Amino acid sequence: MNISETITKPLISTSEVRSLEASEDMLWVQKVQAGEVIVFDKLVKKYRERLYSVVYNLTSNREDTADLTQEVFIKAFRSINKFKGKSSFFTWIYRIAVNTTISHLKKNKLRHFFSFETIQEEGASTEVLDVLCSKITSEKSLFLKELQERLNEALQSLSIPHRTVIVLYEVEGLSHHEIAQVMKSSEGTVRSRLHYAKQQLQVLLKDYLK
Amino acid sequence: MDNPDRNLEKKVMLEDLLKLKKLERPDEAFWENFDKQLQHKILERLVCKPSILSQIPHFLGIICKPAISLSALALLMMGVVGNNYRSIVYSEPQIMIKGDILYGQENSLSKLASVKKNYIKSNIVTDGLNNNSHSSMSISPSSKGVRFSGNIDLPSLGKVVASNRIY
Repeated sequence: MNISETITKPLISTSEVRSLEASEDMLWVQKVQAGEVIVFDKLVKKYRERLYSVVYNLTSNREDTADLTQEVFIKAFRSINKFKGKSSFFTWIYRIAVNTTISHLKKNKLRHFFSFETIQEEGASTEVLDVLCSKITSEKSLFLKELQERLNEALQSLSIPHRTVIVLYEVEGLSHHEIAQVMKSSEGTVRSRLHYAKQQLQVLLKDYLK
Repeated sequence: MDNPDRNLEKKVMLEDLLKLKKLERPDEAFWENFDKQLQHKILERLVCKPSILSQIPHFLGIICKPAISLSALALLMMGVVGNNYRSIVYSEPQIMIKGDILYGQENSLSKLASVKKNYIKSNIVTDGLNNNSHSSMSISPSSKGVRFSGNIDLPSLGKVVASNRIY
């Protein structure tokens, strides 16, 4: 039995959530564009965790992540008047986050080191941890540290486009269509990158997939 | 409570492992600091718009980049040409010939470089020197003596001494 199957399905679909979010975002964006700068704080509070997560999982460096996430919001704030609503604010700001992170990674490709976030053991994913921990003989904290290192190393071993796709799809839960919009590529490209990235990760993390 | 035996039966998928990445996140205290820093940065950018003067280093960077490349190219060319030049003028061994034979020929020798070379090849450097290696030989017109230098393959110092018999 797969763990994914045991997690209960949400009552409202992701696309419906996105649709509701998009209309709320557009309202706030229009207010900011009209001069109510303080409303931008609402957008920051709404997206800061998600964008932080994207940047962190692409860089595996918590210090860089804080600066880059702030940079993303500054860029968004400075160019919010150019946002016409052709795409959703969600994909627009995710695109800024991905592009900012990618250019940072390219600029610093020789300076590469990890600094990890603390693992907050709560929520549905802890069930996975319980299963994993039941199969080990070592101490749980040591195992978690090792697992965190291996996961981050495996992600960082992927190329930037493959890493971006896997982070957006598997960690952030974006759809193929949304990722294609964020990365300005076709859905086919997203699917093939995802397939390849998963194949790579299966090999790299085979010790845990038992 | 979870039964450990049941957990052993469950299979962990790649997707499950990747979902664990969601657990890596900062605590609430971090976000307070984050918001303050962000507000400060936004205000800073709003108040301190980049002046023209502050842009100068950036533009200089753009201008200087090709200039640096050209300088590097020039240095490289100097290196290549200088190396060739060195092989003509400074290559060792140098042999000074200040003999009566050449003294009288000085004026005519200084007229044409090719004549100088051929003259030395045929008249001065004969015994013990490898003629094939004399192609880079030159003569300084300003010197009273005839000085030639080049990639001359001297088998031994004795050969150089031997060439002195033409003095």
